Amino acid sequence: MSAPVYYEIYRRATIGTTLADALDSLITDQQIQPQLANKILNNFDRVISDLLKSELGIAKSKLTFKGDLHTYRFCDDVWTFIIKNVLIKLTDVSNSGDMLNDNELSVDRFKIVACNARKAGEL
Amino acid sequence: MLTSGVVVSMSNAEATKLYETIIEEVISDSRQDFEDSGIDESTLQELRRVWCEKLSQSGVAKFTWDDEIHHENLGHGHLSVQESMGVLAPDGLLALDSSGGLELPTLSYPTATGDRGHSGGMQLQLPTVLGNDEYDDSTGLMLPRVNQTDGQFELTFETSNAKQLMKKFQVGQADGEFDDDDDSAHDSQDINSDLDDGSDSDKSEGEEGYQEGQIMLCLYDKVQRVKNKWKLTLKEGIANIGGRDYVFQKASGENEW
Repeated sequence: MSAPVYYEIYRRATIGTTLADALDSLITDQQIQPQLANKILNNFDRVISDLLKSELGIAKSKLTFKGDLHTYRFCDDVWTFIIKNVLIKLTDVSNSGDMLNDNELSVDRFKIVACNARKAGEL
Repeated sequence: MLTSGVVVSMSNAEATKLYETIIEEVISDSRQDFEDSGIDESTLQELRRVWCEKLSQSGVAKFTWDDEIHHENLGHGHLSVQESMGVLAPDGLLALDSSGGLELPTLSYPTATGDRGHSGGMQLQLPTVLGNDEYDDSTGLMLPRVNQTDGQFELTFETSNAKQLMKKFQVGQADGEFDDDDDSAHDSQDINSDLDDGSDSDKSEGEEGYQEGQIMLCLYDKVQRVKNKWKLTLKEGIANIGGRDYVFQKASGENEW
């Protein structure tokens, strides 16, 4: 039985790109080998996927959005959407109950890249 | 690009907490991998330090280590703005409309490769401007000319009337962020004006006009379509909106195609 496979999608988030940049600079300075950098990125995939799951409860917020769907694409089990004139609402429920913290943002263009939830951490 | 009426301070404390937890776990989980490759602990700590630093520079959230990094970076030539500080454009000369003020010497600040840049930092502490009745309504400061085209440079002023001082400073900053409502000074800066411009035409890359930021990375539970209405049920994601990162457990959207 092989180890669980984790998506690499979160590497594109700021927390991932900054890690990749930091690893790159260590490789450039010849302080580490690229193979080690790859292992660290795999560690990152696992850590962030696990932490985002509800049981661990750091990310509790709910986000809703409404807009004009401009482009949709489904390829290799990955959905990509480009939505225009979006109103995004984030409900921060981290202060459990006392005060729901609603925030709204308007964005004229927004891209969503989503992997299939059913495969995450499985296989 | 954000439209008007945006709540700039939408809370993203969860992103801060998540990111800081990720860093701690990735670093501790990677210790064995470093050992197995014969790389010592100091390199692992270097990775952590650079990672934190780059995250802070991204400005996507406020981190608990931000203050430390500020001080560490003094020697690396960073221009940053905090309360009661002034900012200079690369070629900027900021003169305050006052007579009899202080004039600081012209600085030739070392570039990134400069030896002096790493030696304990360069910090200018301007003398306190004492409340002298004659200069009551002026701060009497003339900012130094800094020959610096990149990075950050930090100035600390001590003054009894910080607010007044801030009003007198015109901000001509070509990059980075500065929380000032007055954007008029940016108009005179043609450097980086393309970068500040959020229009798709400048940032387009490929057919779909990919632009950095304004992206959500997540998992999908369901994607349903009825006629031209699309209902998306998403979860466990990170979204970059208006230069800040937000994390969420669940997300849903209804959009018309």
